[in-house]
Amino acid sequence: MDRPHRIGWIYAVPALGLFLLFMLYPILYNIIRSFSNSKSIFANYSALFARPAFESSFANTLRWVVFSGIFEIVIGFILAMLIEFYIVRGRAFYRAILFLPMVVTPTVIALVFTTLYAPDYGAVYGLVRAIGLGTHFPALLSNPDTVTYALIAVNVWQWLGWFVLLYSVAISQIDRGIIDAAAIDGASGRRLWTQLIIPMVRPMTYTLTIFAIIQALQQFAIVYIATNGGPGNSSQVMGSYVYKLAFVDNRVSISASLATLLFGLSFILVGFVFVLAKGRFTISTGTAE
Amino acid sequence: MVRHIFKAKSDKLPAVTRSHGLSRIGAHLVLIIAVILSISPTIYMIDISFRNAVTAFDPSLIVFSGSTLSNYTSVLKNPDLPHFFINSTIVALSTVTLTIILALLASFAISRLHIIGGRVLFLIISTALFIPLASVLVPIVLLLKNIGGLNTYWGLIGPYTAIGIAFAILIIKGALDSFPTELEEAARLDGASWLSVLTRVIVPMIIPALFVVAVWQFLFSWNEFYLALVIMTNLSKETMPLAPLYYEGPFLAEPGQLFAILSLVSVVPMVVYLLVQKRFVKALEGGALKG
Repeated sequence: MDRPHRIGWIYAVPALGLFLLFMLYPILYNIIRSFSNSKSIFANYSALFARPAFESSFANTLRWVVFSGIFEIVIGFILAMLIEFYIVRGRAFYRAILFLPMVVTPTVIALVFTTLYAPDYGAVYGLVRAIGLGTHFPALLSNPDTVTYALIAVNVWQWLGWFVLLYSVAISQIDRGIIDAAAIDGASGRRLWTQLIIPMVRPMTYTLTIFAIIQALQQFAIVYIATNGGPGNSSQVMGSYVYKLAFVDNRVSISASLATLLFGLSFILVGFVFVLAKGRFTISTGTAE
Repeated sequence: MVRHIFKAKSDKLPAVTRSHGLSRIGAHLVLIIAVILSISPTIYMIDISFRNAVTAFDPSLIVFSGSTLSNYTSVLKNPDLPHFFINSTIVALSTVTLTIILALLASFAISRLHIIGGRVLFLIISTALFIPLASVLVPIVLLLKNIGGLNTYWGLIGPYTAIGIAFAILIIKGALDSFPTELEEAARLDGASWLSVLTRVIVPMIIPALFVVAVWQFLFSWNEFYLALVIMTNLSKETMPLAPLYYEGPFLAEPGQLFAILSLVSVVPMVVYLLVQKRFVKALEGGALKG
């Protein structure tokens, strides 16, 4: 008989090693450093909370999670449903074109949208003027009230295709016979959607929710390039503020406490969806229990 | 919603939505608007890269007159441009190769060799999926600084592989778990080593899963900006996403040149995507994602 389980670990060690070096060690480093302060163990956290930019970055990160997530999931589902249920020819075309923004470099996207949003020469202004909606266009990126939403719109624009594609795959895997049978039994259009189709793609919705949360928490490039967190700190997110604290302000320990909070926030939000989902996910057979 | 069941126009659609022409036209209309919104920023970018100094500030989405190639000829003169391209190619291809090899070996150990603690190992590595990059960024930079990893290729390849490996193991282990083991057992009885079972029997079965991982990891490492910004501070080692930073300030007076650079940065991921997209979607539908 083989005794593979002993030597088998050799195969797993390199992957585990990289995880320990570049994931676990940095997390532990940040946790330990965030609580290491000669005055008190919470001194770094108090210093962080005392900074006005912290509140802004925390609130904006939550806005990113909520609004990115809702728009990506709702619009993604509607477009996928139209593609799968109403389109005979052209499905692959729609999915492919909608997915294209996903592959464009985020730094490029940030600069393209900065120009698109420009009040005098941007194409959004040009369009507003062309359809006669006025000759003034608000400077979305220099107004503290609009800047975060303008950037979230960029993110939704970029990632929508991923949500359409995955929902599309999930809907196409539904057995059409079940839907037909329910329709013949007299189920109306609305009941078909709320009681049959939406529940059947729910595992994908959980997966995509987790995806949207993590992707929103990851935000850095678009904010950093388009506004550098400004005006003031009004568009700062936790990802960009970690960078600013550590590399611009040289406050590595305070940055470590923000990084630890971000890590905690990710686990709380993802954990919440996990509890809701009770193990019903779609990614691979590896996780579906 | 459509409440009427009309005569079958296509077998591909379920009865409930085998609907009259109007709702299908409506669906096409909505999707065409979505497609236009989705593609216009990219068209806008390419269009500005061909505009001259005057039309560059025109607020139209597309300007048809006065196209010029001069933006490209001036930015291509920059001797640093090839560095960005070469660095990105080296980093992205090495990351893809390393991720696939390491994830394949680990998935094999967990799914086939049933190593002791394999399940725990899988759960631990999977947690990496939920770790935002910002929460590990600074310690990674400090660590690389101590061991001489700043401004080196492996200083990016290592963290990129570590970031991608959880997703890769999820997909590859998922594919492995869905295949029966009879072929491998037969090969083992014939005296094949585990390594040759892996390369000759298992790899050919899970090509779609490996393909999804390769495409995903290539696009991620080609486009990644956050780590590249802090790890590659020496111009000669910088990757493509950093290139626009050099054109943003001085070239703001000349948007045409900035947008020529932006178009050049985007060319590789877009061409790669257009080449592989059919297979990528097929792999997602067929094997890599299971309900």
